[in-house]
Amino acid sequence: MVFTSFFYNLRKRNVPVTLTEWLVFIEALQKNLVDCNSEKFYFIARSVLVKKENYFDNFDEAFLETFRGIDIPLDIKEELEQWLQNPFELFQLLTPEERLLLLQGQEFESYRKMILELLQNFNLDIPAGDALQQWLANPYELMQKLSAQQLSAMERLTLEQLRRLFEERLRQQKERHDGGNHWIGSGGTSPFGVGGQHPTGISLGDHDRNHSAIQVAMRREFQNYRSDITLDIRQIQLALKKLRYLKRTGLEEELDIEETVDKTCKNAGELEIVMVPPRKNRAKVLLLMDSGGSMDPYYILVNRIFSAANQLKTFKDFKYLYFHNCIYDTLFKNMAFRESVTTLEILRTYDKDYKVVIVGDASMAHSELFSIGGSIDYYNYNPTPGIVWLKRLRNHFEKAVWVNPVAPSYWYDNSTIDYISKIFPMFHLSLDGLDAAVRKLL
Amino acid sequence: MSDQFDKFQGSDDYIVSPELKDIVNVAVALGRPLLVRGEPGTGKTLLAHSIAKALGKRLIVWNIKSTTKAKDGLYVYDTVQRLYDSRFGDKDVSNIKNYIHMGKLGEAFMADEQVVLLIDEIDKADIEFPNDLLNELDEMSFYIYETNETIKTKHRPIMIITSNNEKELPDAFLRRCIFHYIEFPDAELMEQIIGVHHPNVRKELIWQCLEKFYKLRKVEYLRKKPSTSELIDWIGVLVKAGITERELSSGFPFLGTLIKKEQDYEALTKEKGMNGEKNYY
Repeated sequence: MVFTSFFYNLRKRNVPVTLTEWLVFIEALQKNLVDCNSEKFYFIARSVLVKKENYFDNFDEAFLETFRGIDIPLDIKEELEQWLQNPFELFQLLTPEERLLLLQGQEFESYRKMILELLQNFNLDIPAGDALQQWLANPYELMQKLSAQQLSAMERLTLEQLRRLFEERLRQQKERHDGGNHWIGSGGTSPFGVGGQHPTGISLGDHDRNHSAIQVAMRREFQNYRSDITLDIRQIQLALKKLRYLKRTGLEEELDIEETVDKTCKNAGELEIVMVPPRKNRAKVLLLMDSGGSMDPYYILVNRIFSAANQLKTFKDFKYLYFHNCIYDTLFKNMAFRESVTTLEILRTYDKDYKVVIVGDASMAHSELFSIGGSIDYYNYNPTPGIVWLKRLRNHFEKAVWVNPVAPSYWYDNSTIDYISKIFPMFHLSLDGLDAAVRKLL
Repeated sequence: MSDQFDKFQGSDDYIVSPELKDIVNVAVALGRPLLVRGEPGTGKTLLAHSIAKALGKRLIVWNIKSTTKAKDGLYVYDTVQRLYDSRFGDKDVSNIKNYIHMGKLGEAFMADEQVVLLIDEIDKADIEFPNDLLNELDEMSFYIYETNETIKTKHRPIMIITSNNEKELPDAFLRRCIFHYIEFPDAELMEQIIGVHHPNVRKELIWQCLEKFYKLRKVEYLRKKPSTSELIDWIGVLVKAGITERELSSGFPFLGTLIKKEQDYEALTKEKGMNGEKNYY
């Protein structure tokens, strides 16, 4: 099966395609819903195999990897028709002797019959009202109009060879429509191809079809839709939408049994039903941000995202605090580390229903995490190691996640990132990561 | 080849891109629902209307709200009504069938001919909603518990599902659909779309409007970018007000038709833009 490599390439590029989608794709091929037309192939493959637009770019990568270098021929039927519409092209195929014969009207009849026969056999109509018709009617006149260049033969196909080639091409086209699946791979050797390499290549002039699938894929139009790279300023809107998950929807009025019974009794047994709107269940969020030097570009971004989310009234309550590299016994209300509050007080003030999001690169010296007095701030000698504080936070808040701008490929074993990821579920600061983090918080 | 294949060519009041045409035909031929996503105002709902019109089928529209439950689409057993009726004794409450009302999906299943079913804005509902529909989508039948009936489709409806980019849809659901993302139309396609709605407007005016429109869309700090429907409205307003090209080039009349958020409007009409450069609005 020709396309299996395509399937594996897609999976290699993280496009979530499973056997289910693949079988639907095969079904589409079997039912001939996909023509030889390669642009159609691209779009139908994409619509059947990829269900989210953020994977379109990955799809393009896989598509190019699989099919680039294979010259997928354009729609043959259209080519042929175009070819037939330009009798000068036909004429060029003949040797000077043959042309002479034509002029003399001897070979012409058989030539004309051949063309008509072939068209009939393959159920093609002569393009109506067309140069070919005219030419078939009066070749002599049209031939007069040919310039010298056109007359000088590019190639030497005899009439017989031409006929055989023509037949073969039409037959192949018919087979393809009946379900053959060997259409890939003429590799530009078709004599009917545009800019083909075949010596008898007929130039069909400039095709308007500069949209071959390879070119579509190469345009990489959907690069900006990718959701697996670290967030930047432009994606605030999209990130916000992820955070909206934290607000539950779909709640309808509930039957208030007590009230119903009460009212019904008061009504001397006449039924009276009382519905009560549900309590709104919005999230309370506590955001802790690492404002160490390496985090500069990220805390502005993250702060903005969450403030924007707060303004939208997505959250019932939203609080944010800062720490430096690692969490110790004090947290800070602003980045300049002026106002502080003890971590113990945070644990007392905010109940376990608060959803905690910690944003930080989790990268520090081992001593900062594990040692007493390991804090990088000289003036904040910490009697308790950072890791103990992290564990305390984890035990108190039922739902807490750690979001890390550093890409997951850098989360090495036995690094501080690794240790911290064993305490808090850790996610990458990308759209996908934020999505997963929010789901974890639900 | 199926005789329905290639039948959809767009309709005269809806411009469709060639790849969308192909994808619609594939979805119909394979009997799978077509999921259409895109920015608001790109014509997703209108696509379903166009498909129904082009194929000559009845259109059933199921508008999803945030409180919609999957079960409501199949059928609703109106218990409250039955209870009330039983107090007065003038209706026949013994037959439970009188109180089973078909939902939109149920209606589509029971239809005698093939219909087009539009499930509009499926992402508005709860996140579990699409998963609740999975079984019914696969088997094309559902069971009414109260009457012990199984309703099976006579003709598989053509399902079009639209979604704004509000929420993610669950994977199990996505797997069963053919997917299309409607990109925002480029200037060429947009011109055709406008041509359908405003056939008698001068080309020069339209080009000028398009230029200003796309430039506006490029402004980064806008909370809500203007979309196709707003552009069409705007051109209509300009025509009615008799605005000439000269007036249009020096200013931005009726900006409020395009910009719907107050903050955006204020930001645009201020003396200086966010980047410090002068605003021309």
